[in-house]
Amino acid sequence: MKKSIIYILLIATMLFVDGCYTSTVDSLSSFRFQLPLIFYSNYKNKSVPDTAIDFVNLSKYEEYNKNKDKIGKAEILSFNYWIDSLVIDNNKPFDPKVDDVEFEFVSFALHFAKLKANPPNPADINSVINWEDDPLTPDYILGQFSNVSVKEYYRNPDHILDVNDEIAQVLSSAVKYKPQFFIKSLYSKSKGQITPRRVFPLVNARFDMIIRFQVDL
Amino acid sequence: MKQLLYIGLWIFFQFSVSSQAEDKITLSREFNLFTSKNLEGYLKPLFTSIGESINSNVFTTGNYKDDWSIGIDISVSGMFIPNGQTTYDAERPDAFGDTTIVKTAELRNGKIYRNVVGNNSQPTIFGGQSNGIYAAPQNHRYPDTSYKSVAYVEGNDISFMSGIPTIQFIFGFPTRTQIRFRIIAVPMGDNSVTYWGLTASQNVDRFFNLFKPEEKMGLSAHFAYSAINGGPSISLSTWNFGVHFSKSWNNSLSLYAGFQFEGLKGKFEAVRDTMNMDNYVDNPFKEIRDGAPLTVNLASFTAFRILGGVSYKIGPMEIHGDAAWASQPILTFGITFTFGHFGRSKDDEWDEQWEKDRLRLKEN
Repeated sequence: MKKSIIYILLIATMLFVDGCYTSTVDSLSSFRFQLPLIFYSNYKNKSVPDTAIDFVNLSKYEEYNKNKDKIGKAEILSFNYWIDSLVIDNNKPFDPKVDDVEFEFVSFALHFAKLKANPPNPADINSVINWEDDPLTPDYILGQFSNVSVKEYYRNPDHILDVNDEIAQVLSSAVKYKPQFFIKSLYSKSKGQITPRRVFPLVNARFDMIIRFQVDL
Repeated sequence: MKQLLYIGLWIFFQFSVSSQAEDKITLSREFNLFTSKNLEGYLKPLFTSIGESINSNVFTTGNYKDDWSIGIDISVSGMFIPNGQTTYDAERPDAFGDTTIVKTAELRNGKIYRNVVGNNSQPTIFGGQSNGIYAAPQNHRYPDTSYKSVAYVEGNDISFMSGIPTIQFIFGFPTRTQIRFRIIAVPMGDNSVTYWGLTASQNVDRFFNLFKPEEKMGLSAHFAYSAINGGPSISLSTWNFGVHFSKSWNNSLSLYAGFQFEGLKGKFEAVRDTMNMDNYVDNPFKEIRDGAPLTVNLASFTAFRILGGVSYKIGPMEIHGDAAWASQPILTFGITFTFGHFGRSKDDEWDEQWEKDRLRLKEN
């Protein structure tokens, strides 16, 4: 009887220990890291309202390239936006102490890219000119900054938007298979703008995006 | 065993571009997931777990027989990870906080923190989500323009960590000394990781006649040293010393307790590929920008442990389990098989005499 209890305890212990090991190995079977993607959105003679388009190719990032076969998830977490340099209407460099320009909004959307049927630069397949909007996927709205006062956004990184969970989940599986996409930034009219178009001789904007990758070991 | 060691060391090898047995691991210039300080903080709890599991199962009962014996022990361990070891204070790029060079913002739990210079809490390998830092350089000249947004590696949300399983040979000596020896070699890429450990335990209560033989109590001192060698890039050693005590009943059930000081130290060194320094890396961390080597001091949070356990002997088999208080509280279980005792043990003689006396008294 006593021996039976010992053997039962032994078997229970072994099962418990095996469960713990399996759980640990499962927990450590993936590796997650965040990566900031830096976008320089520089334009000359930019008129508003308008949409600026930037091409993103994750294949250009070593962390992505080295692990692309093992990436289980790629999730856009958040992004921010700021103005780095601006020249206003009369060719005057923007001075945040005295000038101000305000846009009603600047919104951001992601659209997956598709390789053109006849890529113009087949030697460099990752070149932007080889890619176009994938018509089978919609614009995914990442977020919108409202009442964008350039004075407040001037070289100031603290305007950060969390990407909403629903969009993040949709993108997380897609980004894994479609690492090329366009980021579209839609600039509204500036406040007080009475003409259909207002032209800025120079707009250097920045937006940084933080993506979480999950790599299966 | 191979899987757990592989996981523990994976991070070191994952991003290497070349690694030969006689050379240090070489990282590509673009490897920027970790600086030395951040890798150290990220992995310290894992090395604490590794150290604790290596420093486990070095003893059970403290009453060693005065004969020759040989046996084998198979043990496992698991550590509970305290909250304090799920985060570490991560390094920020050196200019972060100097608003004349760069302005920064961090989004943590829905709140934005600006130009922070204090604690930068990021997850360790056992922690959860990390928090990136957005940065806006204030000038258009190098290296100020390098101070861009940074992000950190995330943890794996682990609250219980299984240790390295142990298979060890046990040798008993007539001097009431016990030696435990373990060794294993695991191929790891171009290198081979070798792990060996030696434990010596010496019964001391008999020197001072602290207990009567019929009390079945034992007090012993122990010392252990282990090392892991993984080529020129990684070396690791652990040590512990302490005392343990046990009380047995009917030569089968025993309770034991022990106290030990313990530690782990080691180093991981890798070089960054600087073959083409013209192709500069525009990274906010100066260490990465300069192509400096990645040098990580491996250490453990654990300095001591206090444990209590129970063991049960059935013939040549001893089942044992204990729980210990340490920086990561730890549970261990194991089975020891003693293949044979050689020579005449005074303990056995005393047991036989005691049994005869008991039967004689019963008859009378």
